[in-house]
Amino acid sequence: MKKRPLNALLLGLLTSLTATNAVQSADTSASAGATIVVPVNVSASATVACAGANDRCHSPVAVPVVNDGTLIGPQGVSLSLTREADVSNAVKATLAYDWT
Amino acid sequence: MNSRFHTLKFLGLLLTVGLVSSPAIAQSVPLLGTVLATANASATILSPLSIAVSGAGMNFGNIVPSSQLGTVVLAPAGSRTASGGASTMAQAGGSVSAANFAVAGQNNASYSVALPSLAASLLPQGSAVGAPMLVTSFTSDLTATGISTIWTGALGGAGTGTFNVGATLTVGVNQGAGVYSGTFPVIIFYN
Repeated sequence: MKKRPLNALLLGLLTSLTATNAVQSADTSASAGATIVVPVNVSASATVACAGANDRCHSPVAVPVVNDGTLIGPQGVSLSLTREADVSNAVKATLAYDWT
Repeated sequence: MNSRFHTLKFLGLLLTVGLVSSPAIAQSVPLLGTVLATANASATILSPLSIAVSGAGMNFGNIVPSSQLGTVVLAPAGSRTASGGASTMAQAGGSVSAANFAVAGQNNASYSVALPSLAASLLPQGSAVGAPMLVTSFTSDLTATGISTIWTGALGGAGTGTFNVGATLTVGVNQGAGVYSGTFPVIIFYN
């Protein structure tokens, strides 16, 4: 009768040993980066006055850049301006940019 | 009397060295009311998990700051979405990539990925001058779980797999120009 507690203890030890479950894992680290670019001067709109009706405005000119998310470039970007056919002197110009 | 003493010593020796675990002896020598049985024992050795960065790592590319706080979300697929005062350029956007990892282990095994729950800092490099930028909300193209930082996937028949990780970058007000970089940890484990 006195052996039962001992047997139970041994059985418990054996069970606890065989039930041990180690989780295998691995790890690493990766790089993360970003480059902040200096924007050119921006303004809310770009309106250029031309000499006369159906005239054309030619680059290079210093123009403000519409901050619409597409005409923002790094410093040093050269901009050219070409006026589309329009009868008014104050026109909204089409801007093209040269990243070189 | 002497012979019985030697027999008891022999049986005691058997108990001591554990030979009674032999089925033949167990059947022929009933000892002290003990009941013995045998059971099968087996084990499966799994191939150890390994993980490595594949490619150039996570890169948010070129970002234009402004006088307002902004964020850039980099999806695991590699696309960017800017909001607030930050903007990205369609052209001259720089090198943009989500982080890609290669995993190897047991064939067809299920595994989980633990992504950072804390922010990673991108520090200015070289001539760049600016406050650190924080990278948060790491996401993966694996299967989401109930825990936002844990994702689960399965290795293929060859015991290999890949996954991508994206995140959200917070761009400060008038963030200083230049290159910023840092690292973030990834842990994988068998399910």
